[in-house]
Amino acid sequence: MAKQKTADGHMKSRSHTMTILAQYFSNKAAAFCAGVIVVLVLMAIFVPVFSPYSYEDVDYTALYATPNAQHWLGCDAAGRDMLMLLCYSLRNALIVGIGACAVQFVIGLLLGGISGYCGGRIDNLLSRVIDIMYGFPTFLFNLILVLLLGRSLFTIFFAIGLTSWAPMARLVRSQVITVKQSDYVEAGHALGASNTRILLHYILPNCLGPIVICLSQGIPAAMFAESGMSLIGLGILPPMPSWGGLITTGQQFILSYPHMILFPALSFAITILAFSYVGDGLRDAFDPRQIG
Amino acid sequence: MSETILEVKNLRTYFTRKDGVVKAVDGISYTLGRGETLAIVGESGSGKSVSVTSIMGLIRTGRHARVQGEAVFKGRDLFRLSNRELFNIRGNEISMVFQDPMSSLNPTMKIGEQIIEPLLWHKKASRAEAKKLGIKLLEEVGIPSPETRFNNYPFEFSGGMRQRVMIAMAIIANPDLLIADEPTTALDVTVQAQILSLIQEMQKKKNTSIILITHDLAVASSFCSRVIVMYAGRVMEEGHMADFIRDPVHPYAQGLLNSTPVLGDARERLEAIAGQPPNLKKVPEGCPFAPRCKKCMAICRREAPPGTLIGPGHKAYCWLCVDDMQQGREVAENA
Amino acid sequence: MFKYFLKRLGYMFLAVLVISAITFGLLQLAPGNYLETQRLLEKTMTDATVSEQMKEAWEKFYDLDKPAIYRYGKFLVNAVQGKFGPSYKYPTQNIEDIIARTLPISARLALMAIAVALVVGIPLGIIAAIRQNRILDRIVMFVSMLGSSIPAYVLAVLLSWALGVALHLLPVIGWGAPVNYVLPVVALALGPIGTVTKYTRSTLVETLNQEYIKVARAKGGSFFQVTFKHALRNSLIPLITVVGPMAASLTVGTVFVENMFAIPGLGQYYASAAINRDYPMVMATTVIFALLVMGMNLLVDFIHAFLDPRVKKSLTQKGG
Repeated sequence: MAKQKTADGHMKSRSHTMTILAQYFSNKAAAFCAGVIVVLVLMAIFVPVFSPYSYEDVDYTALYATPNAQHWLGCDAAGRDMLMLLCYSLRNALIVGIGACAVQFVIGLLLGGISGYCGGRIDNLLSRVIDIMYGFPTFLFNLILVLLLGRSLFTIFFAIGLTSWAPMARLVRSQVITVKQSDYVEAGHALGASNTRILLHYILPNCLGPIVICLSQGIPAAMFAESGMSLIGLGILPPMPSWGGLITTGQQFILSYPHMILFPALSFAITILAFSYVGDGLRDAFDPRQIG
Repeated sequence: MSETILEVKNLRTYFTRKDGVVKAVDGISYTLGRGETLAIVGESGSGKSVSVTSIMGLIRTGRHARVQGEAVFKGRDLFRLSNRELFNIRGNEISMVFQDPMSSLNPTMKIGEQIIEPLLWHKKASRAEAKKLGIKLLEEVGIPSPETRFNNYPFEFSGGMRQRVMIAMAIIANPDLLIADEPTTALDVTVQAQILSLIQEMQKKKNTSIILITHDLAVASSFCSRVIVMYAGRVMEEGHMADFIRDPVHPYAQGLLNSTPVLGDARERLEAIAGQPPNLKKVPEGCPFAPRCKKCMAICRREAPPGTLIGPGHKAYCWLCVDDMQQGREVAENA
Repeated sequence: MFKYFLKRLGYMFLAVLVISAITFGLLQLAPGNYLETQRLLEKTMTDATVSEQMKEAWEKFYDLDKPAIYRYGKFLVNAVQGKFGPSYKYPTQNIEDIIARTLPISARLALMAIAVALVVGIPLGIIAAIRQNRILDRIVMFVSMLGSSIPAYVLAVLLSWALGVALHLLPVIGWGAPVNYVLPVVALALGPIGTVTKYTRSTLVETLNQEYIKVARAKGGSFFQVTFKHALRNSLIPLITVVGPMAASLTVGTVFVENMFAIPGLGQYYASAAINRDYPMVMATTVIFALLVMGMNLLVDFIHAFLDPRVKKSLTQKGG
């Protein structure tokens, strides 16, 4: 544990979490991007509340409008306010991203954890399953699953999560295996801790690092996947806005009204970029060699 | 006196960290003659390893690290040489053996290739000749079946074998000076003795000068003729090994000797040196050992002691010696 | 070691089998029907409407009157021989002919993208690692982040607009001449370039911090000798493992890029098949892509084991 001096000169120990947080925020780019994400989330939640328009409001006088005083980012082909469209797209993308990661997390944790902890035949079988998932044509399956289940936000992120849990499972499994063999777990057994206790108090807390990193990389990946589906026409159901949908429509007008594709593309890129930097920052923060 | 091949003058190595300047080496000086064996002894953090890496130029100087002073090797100051000249000297005229044999060899390269690199890089032999020499050297350092082993990878060797390979790698170009940085710390005790005798054998054969870095006085005394004791980046005492072991003057040195267990020792308890090594970012005024010294005096905390010659080639940096010398002089004057 | 890879090859075919079974099962459950999507069953008669008789004949032609097990079995038997039968949308063509015609094009695009990614990404990663934490490093990393954050199709659009329309440097439509390859390959490669750069940089930085690099410098190695002979070799080996997943993501990328540049590759059929409920096509493309991706991963693992003596040794010691 890192030590630091408090005002009166006594040595105080920092908890592990605080050390990691401190390490994370010492990386300026990562800290900035964490801020960006907070801003984005707040925007997604609050801008719709305060805006005079809803994304569905159609303004016939402002078709294809370029940015002006009334519509800060212009309008789309149907006269809907671009800023609203983007905020809702952001909201939907965040829901898809976080939802897909939640699904990935649950499935990956269960399968990877059981596989790693039990070892032996169960491990062999589950590892094979994980390997198969790696080769899965995930994109195609997302499409098929959405065809099957319908096109709501839930089914979309559920489908994405259902097809992309393999990296998480593999990660959890290798973490559990490493931790399982470590000395302090052996010491725990020697002290008489039950298996459940070992799992919950010894193994899981030490796997959290890579899991958090995997989650932070999974969110942009899920956003990518959904936008890909929108491109094909099987993404979020219109008139609900999504970046993929906006970009596809905007494509046609790239010469005449570039703002229609530029703004969605930019906001998409900024969000993904922010998550990427956060993911990298987290990875560096958890790296034991860099601490202290 | 044999010819001096290395003269270190007031070597200082400072590292700039976020919360202060770490004075890893804070002004050490010594000379080394041809064929001489010198041991640098000290705890972790005493600066002994940093001092030799500084001399070799292996510290990345720049915003975060500064090396000052002089290190004159065969008449040239190593700190004033260009990179190209330094490349020529390293591995060729000055070689190093490092502490951890497990991580010191490139795991994806055959050891034979790694051993002959100094010869190839310094253009001292063709590949065929170098290979022959490498195999012969493997045999000399005690590796069985050297021809086959030449083509093996590091993970196919045990720790002790790897260290032998390191030694072969270090001496293949016939260096004038071999620096061994804690070569036995990561090895079992029995293997330790073998490695040390191997180094000694090589030294005798080729009259190489040796600097042996260690925290273990027993290891130091095994074959070195001179010793320097470092603490907090400074020299505390230096002298010939026999004189030093028989009669250490500096309280730190005495503490080190007292805390080394010896077979047949009549004492029941080992005496440990109380306290902790100092925080190198905030080295106190005066003698760095003062906070832990049992014989500490007021002046020790105020001023750093000068070096006092207490015998032929035996110097100590302690106010007690100055005191004694002064008292001795007073006594003599008053007599 | 070969025994180990033969075993993995066997597992791979087993996996593809499982995938095909799952795909088939899901497709049976999926609502919607090809004829419906193509509006061939409208109640109001138009020229394209299919009569009841024709519908039955169509179903007979595609064995849709037979039970699912029969159809799956027939699929497998044919698949092993490399035949996939006619697609719904293109009843006059056999799917395997379509694949034979289009797969090489898509494969070429993907391979070129990988090659570009390696040729550009590795040097960039080296530069970033050597100048770690200085300006050049940050610039290179930012650019590579951009590349992997903006989706390929957006970049494709922007690129084709900038280079094709605005500057008239490269043709936007058209296929056949080498110059037509430039835009699609660049658009495909931008994401992989980011990945390769990032990965090269991090492995090289890690390698340069290893003890044996210090030892190599102590032996008198010059900057180039140490970096290229010792460090790079060790950090490039793990890079191979990144190529596998990259191939998988490229299969998705080709769909969009082919769409955008009107390239007659397999990717176009891949996605539209699902929407159109062109089941034979879906089955065929799933199997092909799964084989390709898994095969690529296997190849990559093989090369990795071959290059890294530690892995090679552990595999041969296991008894193959």
